[in-house]
Amino acid sequence: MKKLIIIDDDPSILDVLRLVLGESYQVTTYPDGSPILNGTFDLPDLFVLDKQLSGTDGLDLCRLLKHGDDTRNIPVIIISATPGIQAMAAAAGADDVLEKPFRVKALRECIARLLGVHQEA
Amino acid sequence: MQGANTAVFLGTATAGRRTMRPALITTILLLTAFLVTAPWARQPLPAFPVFVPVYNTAVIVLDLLTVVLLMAHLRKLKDPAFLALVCGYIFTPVLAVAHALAFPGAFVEGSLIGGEQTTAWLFMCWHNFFPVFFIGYAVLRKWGAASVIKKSVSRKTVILAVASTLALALGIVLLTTLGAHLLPPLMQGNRYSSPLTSLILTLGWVVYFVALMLLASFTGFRRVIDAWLAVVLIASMISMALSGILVDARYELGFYLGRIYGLLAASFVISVLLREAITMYGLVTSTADTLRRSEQRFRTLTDVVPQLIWSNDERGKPVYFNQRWYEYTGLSFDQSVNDWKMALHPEEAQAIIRQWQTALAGQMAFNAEYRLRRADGAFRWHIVRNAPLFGSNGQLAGWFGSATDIHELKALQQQKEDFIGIASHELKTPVTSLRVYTEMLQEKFEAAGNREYAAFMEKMNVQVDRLTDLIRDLLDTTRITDGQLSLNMEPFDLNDLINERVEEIQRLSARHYLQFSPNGAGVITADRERISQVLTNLLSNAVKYSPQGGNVMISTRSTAHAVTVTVADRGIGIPDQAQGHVFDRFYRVHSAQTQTYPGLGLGLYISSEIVRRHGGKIAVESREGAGATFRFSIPYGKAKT
Repeated sequence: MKKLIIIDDDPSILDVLRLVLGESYQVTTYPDGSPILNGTFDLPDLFVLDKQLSGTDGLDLCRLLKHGDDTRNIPVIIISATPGIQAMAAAAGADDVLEKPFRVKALRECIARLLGVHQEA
Repeated sequence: MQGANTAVFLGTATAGRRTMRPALITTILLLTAFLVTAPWARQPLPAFPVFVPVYNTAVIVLDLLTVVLLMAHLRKLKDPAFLALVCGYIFTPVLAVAHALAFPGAFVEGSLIGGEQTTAWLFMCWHNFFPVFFIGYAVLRKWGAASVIKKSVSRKTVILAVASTLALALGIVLLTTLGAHLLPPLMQGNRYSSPLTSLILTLGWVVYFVALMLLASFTGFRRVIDAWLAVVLIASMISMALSGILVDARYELGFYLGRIYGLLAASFVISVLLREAITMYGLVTSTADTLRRSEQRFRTLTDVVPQLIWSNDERGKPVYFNQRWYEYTGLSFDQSVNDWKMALHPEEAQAIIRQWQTALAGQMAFNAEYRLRRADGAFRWHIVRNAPLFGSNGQLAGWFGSATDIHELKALQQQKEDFIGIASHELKTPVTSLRVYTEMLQEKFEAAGNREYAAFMEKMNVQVDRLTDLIRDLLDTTRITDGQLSLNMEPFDLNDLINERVEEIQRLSARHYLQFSPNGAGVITADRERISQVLTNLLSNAVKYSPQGGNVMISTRSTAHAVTVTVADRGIGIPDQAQGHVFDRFYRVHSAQTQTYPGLGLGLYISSEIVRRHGGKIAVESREGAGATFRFSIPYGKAKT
């Protein structure tokens, strides 16, 4: 089973994403970016990061991951309530962006596509 | 202002009954005095030869002063007719000087210059030529009015005319002194004996009469000075009659009286000109006073208002600041003039100075919002306007600037933006959870075969979508208002996008048939998400406002630079009076015949702004009850950023 790390400062989002994605993936959730900053996490197959986190910006985390030797090839999906951040997210190295509120189907497709692409590479 | 200036001059001041009256009364008095004294003109009186040089000196002084005043008029008004008068008043004194010097017994026993006949010939020429200049005046006035000659006399013409006049006068002096022996005699001792004398004097009289008639006919006494010139002519005619025609010899009553009339004749024009000068001085004084009071009012006004106010000269150099400026900036006048840039915020200073220089060079109004440094070092936002002032001649006269403190307004705007940003973010998070839950539940119910509950969840999903759209529209509207709607330009296939949106909307309604006919189009460079938003808005409107169902026709058409998308429905349509407003913010069509449809009235406003930001156009054609056709164009690869 593929492993996902989801970081969002809203517990209800973490709850519901664990619920819908838990059947297909091994999901780990964090309410903030400290495990990433401290390096205290197991390498997943994909990251889902909220852009606006308490403490750290999701894009900064993304930039950090894309510069790490172990993590630079792991796909990152940015989820955000702010529209029009595609360019900023791309500059930070994110592989895709989903605007809140997104459809479950869109999230599932996005994850499947990025994991598929990644597997082929 | 030009009109007000020239009205003061007698040369242009229009004569009225009030201004004509003094001239008329003077004429009546002159004639009365003449009629009373004429019968005693031949009364002999003691010989008093010194009277002549005294009289001539007075005439010379008066004439020369008249010349000075007339020249001032000529310089200001450049009226050629005035040049004729100037020449007349230059001609007379030259002959008067020679006449005094030649008069027997005035300075020495005989004559200083010339011979026995010199004074008589000089007298004749002096008085007979003088009215000729008045004829010149009348003729030039007529030609000037009929535009036969130029309205403005050149400096060269003035010099030429004055030189010719002096040459004529000196020629006459030379002829009557050195060439006196060539001329027929007019006098026998002190007696006017020759019939030639009477003939010349009568001829002179005729010339005066002609001058008077021409003056009346050509000028119509339309100007104040015309009437006074007529008085001069009448006084001169009386003078000639008394001192030449009605008398037999020198030193009779007429000889003396005639010269007094001559003195009067010489004093009229100068009196009027002097009176005019005094009036003008009074006007200048009162105008200066009015200006001073007006400026005082202006200064008080500018010091009372809460704005910072200043003015610049035509080159942009500051010349005035109101009290409030000094209080706010803490700068002195010299600092304000030389170092006003110190009051700008370092972040904006360069851009502001550039913008000001552009406005200055183009003489265009300068409008900007920037921060100004307060005396305590704090920077506050101001809205600044600096408008060019143009004089009546259309030339730039200077600039007038003001700065209004909008710091609190700016802070409120920022607060509003922050609030809407936070609020929409906070709204979106619970909606995201809600949506994921409902979709998940729908899937669960479908998997369990509970179609009824799955249908409920589907309906709930539709409502969550509506909530999502409302939040997005409110956020978009705020962004548009603040000019923050950003576009992510990327190349994409427009036909593919339209197909996706058509399929999506088609799923929502079984009673409508959405038919897409692509024609050209293909790949464009635009913001895919935003164009998708426009399509969704137009397609869902077409469905929403066709409650009876029916066809919705979608088509694309390519031109050289842009692609046009058309969405046409057969729905309720839009009333004529509403068609100009459907793209306005918060506008909703109200009609007695139609039911009320839900919505905020933002969809078309946002769509039109998205299209506009892409450099495209959007329009609607509709007939109430017969459907509506929306059309928008997007350039292939151009977008306003």
